[in-house]
Amino acid sequence: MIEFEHPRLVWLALAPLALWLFVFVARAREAPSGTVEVWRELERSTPRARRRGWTNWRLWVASAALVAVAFALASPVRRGASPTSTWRVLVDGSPSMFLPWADRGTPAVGAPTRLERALELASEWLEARRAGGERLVWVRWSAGRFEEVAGAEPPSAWLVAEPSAEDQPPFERCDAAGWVWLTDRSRDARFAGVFASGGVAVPGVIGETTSELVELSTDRASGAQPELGVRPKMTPSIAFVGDPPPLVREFVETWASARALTLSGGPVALTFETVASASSAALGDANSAALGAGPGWRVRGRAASLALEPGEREWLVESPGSDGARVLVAWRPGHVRSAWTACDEPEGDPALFAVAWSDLLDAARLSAPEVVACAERAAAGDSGVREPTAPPLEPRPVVERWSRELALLAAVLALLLLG
Amino acid sequence: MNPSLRRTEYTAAAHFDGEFVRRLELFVAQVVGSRERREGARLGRGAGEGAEFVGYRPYRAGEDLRRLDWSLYARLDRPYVRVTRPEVGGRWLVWLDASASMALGQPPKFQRACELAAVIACVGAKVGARVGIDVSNRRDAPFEFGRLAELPRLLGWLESLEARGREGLATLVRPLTREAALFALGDGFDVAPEALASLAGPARRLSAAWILANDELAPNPRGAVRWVEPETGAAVELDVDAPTRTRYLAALEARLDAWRREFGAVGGVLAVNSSRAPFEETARAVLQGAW
Repeated sequence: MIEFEHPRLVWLALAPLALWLFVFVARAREAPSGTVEVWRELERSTPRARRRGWTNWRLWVASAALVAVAFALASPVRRGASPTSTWRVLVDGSPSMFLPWADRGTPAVGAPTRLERALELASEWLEARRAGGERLVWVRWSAGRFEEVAGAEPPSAWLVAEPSAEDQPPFERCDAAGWVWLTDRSRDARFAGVFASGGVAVPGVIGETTSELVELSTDRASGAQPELGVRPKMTPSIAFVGDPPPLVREFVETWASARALTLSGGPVALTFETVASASSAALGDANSAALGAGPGWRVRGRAASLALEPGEREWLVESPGSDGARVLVAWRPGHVRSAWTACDEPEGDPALFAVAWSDLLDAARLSAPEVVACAERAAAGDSGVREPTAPPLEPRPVVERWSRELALLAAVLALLLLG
Repeated sequence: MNPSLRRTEYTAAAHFDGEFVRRLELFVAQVVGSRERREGARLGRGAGEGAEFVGYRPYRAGEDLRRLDWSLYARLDRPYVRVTRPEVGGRWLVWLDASASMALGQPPKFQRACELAAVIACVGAKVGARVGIDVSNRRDAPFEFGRLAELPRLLGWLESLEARGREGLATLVRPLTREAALFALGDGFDVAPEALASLAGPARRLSAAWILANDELAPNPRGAVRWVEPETGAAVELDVDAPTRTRYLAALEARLDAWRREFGAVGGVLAVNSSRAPFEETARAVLQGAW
């Protein structure tokens, strides 16, 4: 259905009526006469007396041009039959959401996760939204920012625990009309709807040392107190991709040794990738002098450019004064990427340089996949549902717009009139 | 010009009331009585000829040489023919223009034309002529009138006529043989002057009455006017101002002058009048010398 963005201007389409009225008022009075031949003779002999009124087709063309202008100004559009409101469903991606769910006792093997349980609680409500043609946007907090995907179902990858799973999302930023939270603990919300799975505590690995996993075990059936235990773990490793500058490689290997990471074999806790080597001919001008600096230290050398990948955060950016502001080092859980192709000895305090890089590698290093923090394994309480506040109605999106075509038509008609 | 008329409604019919009949009878009595008085005086002077001599006119190529006045030719060295009045009691023919343009005027031109036809018929009957009335938009035989007692029938027939359509006087023009007088009644714009003038002859008197609407004789509108021909719908659009009106009047007068010259050359009579003028005025002119 056609709508107008400026409906009041549609009234201008009545302008041709004024034109027709003017022409009607100013039209030649019709007078029958038996002496028309005399008048015709007069017309031939005195062309000045010939009336140059608007012919009928000019009137129609002018009217059409005016109507086209009026509609062009009113900006007719066709809107799609899309939903009248959009719901944002925040999926809590914290580690606890991927623990098995049970409302009493100990979760059985193969039990649904807390996230799946929350989705199940919301399924009826979600179905109603879908049936009403309303739009669903799934939102996840990832790498310090919100990630959004529109669709009837959440992306399947979001339902599986990631090794880089982070803390819970900033719920307070999502407490607004039209928001729904899928989480495990009942949370206070003023506007957002909450579908909380609840769930009993889930015993398991809660930490690790360089060689062992620390496990919290409990047997609720017997009512025994929780007990801490340790068991050996597989030695994790660090993997290099590419050829880092000697200074960088030496430091990373030293750090790996201190963290009891092997250089081969075992689950990979960290991948250190160098995007290009000094000998790479393909780099060309991209491999240029670079200066990177942190608190109390700086490093000179040469570096390529680094484009951030999804979920990645920058760690070291080229210092002001250098040419451009390239990202020199970026990371995401389990992965560090470096653009350095060559670098000199760090200037300033070498200890500060080592601490900074060590913090980066510690942050990026993955824990053993079994490790879930003790707080995450705690009981989430009872399940709960809170109906959300509906989002404001949205104008339907514009599918087609005809202002330009109408303006073009008006111009062509005007040219026809003047021609 | 009746502004209420629309192109599709250019029709008019004549209507005669008692007052018209009274005026008609009075007019006929006056015209015939006056004529008889004049003729009585002239005959008293002892002319005594069979065919009444009326006068001379220039000779036209193709005419019967026996009508040439040789003594006048010898004196003036220019050929003239004797013009004689036809025998009283011959046949008169009235051609009545009933085209759509005759519906114009206030009163309609057709009303005056029908009144004139009635007057001519009555005068003819009064002086012993047999009068036929031919109407331009009718295909049937002319209406024949010979006795004043048939006046109601004549008026009824005239009232049954309607001015409409495209056929004007031009459709009536044809060679004539026995008619002693021809009266053409219309507005004169659809027939060529020479076509009518050629029908005049030594034994046939030609009279015409051109009746024009007041707006045709003296158009008054100012500004943009779309002049429409009732017969064809043809139109011409003009911005009419005072100079245009002056030029129109001059062009109209030039056309009427052409008519007068053509009729004058054959001894015919042309009367031009407004439809507003009473019929007596026009009838007196066209009947002048008709018998």
